[in-house]
Amino acid sequence: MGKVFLAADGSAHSKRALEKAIQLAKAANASIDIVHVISARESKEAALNSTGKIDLETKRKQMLKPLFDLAEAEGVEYEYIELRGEPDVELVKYANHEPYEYVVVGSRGLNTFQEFVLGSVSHKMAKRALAPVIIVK
Amino acid sequence: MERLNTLKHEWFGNVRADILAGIVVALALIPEAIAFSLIAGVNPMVGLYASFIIAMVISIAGGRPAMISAATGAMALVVVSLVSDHGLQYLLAAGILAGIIQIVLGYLGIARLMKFIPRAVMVGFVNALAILIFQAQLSNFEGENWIIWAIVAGSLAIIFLFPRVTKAIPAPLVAIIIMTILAITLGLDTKNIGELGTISATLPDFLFPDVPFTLETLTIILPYSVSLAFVGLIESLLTSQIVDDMTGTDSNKNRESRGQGIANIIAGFFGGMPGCAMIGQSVINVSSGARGRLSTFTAGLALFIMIMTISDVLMLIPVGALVGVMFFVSYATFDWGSLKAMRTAQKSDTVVMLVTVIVTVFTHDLSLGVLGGILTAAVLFAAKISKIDLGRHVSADRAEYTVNGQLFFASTSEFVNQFDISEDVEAGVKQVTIDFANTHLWDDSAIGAIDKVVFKYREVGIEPELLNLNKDSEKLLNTLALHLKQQDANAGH
Repeated sequence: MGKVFLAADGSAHSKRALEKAIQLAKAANASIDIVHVISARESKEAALNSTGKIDLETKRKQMLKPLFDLAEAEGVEYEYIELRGEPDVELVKYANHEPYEYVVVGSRGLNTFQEFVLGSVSHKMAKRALAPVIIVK
Repeated sequence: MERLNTLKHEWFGNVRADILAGIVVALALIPEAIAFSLIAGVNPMVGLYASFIIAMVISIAGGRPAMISAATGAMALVVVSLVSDHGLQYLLAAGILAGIIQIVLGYLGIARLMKFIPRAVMVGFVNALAILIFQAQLSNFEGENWIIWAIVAGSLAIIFLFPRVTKAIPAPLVAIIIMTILAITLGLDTKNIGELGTISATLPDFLFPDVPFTLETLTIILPYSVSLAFVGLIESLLTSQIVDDMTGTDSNKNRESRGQGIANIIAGFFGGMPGCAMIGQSVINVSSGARGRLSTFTAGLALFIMIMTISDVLMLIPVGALVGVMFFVSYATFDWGSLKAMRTAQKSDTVVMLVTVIVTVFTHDLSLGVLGGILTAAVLFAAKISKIDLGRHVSADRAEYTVNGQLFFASTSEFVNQFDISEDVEAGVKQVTIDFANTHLWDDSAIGAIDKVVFKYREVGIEPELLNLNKDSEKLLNTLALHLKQQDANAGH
């Protein structure tokens, strides 16, 4: 059974990306790997906005829960994978560690200035991932 | 044996990456240590000594492997007026005393108490810190020509764009190097570090701060020491939470608090200013692959070696490049997400955050800002929780009251005022019940309020029935209520 790779960050874009991933997974009779990278930026914001480890992890789960709920409601098998580091680097590395049917990624999670400075994650995935990449607007 | 294994793992579990990351951090520390010295108003050596000593001591004594501590902007900002009014020796004494306070707080389990600092106050803390760091740079432009602006702009351009080339070398360092080379080769007419202070390859001396050991000295330094102790712990424990999450591991927060104290004491005796954990540097360290204590130790050692070897070069760094780096530190410190959150967050959170920022910016003391924020949050919380609501239902000669909300000192008058006794009498009520199922009696004021209500009803010849008190409330009522005692006394007649 094949697998579809989904880059997820809890934004509206990644929810739409999941909808696409579900379509693809259903058509290819595949399961989905929902991959989330905890970046330094996310760690910093999470630490500022939570009172401790338990609170922090609960909030993170809540952030991603809509994605899990959607996958479950659609009856698609999925696995949640949590990575740490630079999102673009880690996502590309993981997307290429096994042959995926498709790589699906939302068009942007960051704001314009950050994108200008950091470069866009979706752009880097499109360039470097080995599987066909679908960027969902 | 297990402890030994843990220790071995914490030090030598990740040798190669730890050493490389430590060197990267040491390079990134240089401009910051110098800039924070200038903010505090002391010679750059004071911040450089502090940075390598604190980093090395905390690598051994701290509770969060791979976290970087050194001279910081937060601590420098606290001591500005102490340095300008009393000089360096008082700063060193204040740092040592702050360290002692931190050790005591560490043994008292301060980390647990940090949970009670509202998140909005923490956000206000970092935002205020960012604003103050920015503000502190502005004096550098006084009496300068356009060249300093060009250097600042050039530095910022490099800092924001260089990461697109590689993230392996800290961009601020690249900016410093390029701007220094430009300033020297073009012979730019602009101020450099050497004109603001001296950096020399001298070893620090172990000395007692040269202050009189009197009560007067203590009254001068104590307020600063308390501020330093709390500011240092707040930033350190926040940073350790970030490193915990970045690495997916746990840390010993009380050990970290004690370690911060030990590091500040030792730094003070060696002529270094007090410091704490640094969010930016710790992120650089962990992002560069560091996981163990060796990384922090290497950062301190490498910084020491660099001070001893390239101090002459450091003095040639143009001030504008340092200002550029500090503008970036300010930008990176600010929690930009909080601006967006203002639209969606609860109003009380926004108010608390803004109070923290405003108090800090006006007093230039982060600890006062935190205190102001906590007090505001406490008042708003009390106001929110003191909302009490009485339901009144009258049928025939019976009035039934139900209490909704917490009954304590802040809600008592609202509670008492909602009983309409004259209206009850007019309606011909003979029986009154008060249902306490949805409330809790918290203190003697709550009991006093109930007494007041009961006595008022007795005046019109009604004995109200108190129903459904929970166990704790009933116990409190039975021990404190006057109306019960008078009833007993009446019964005895």
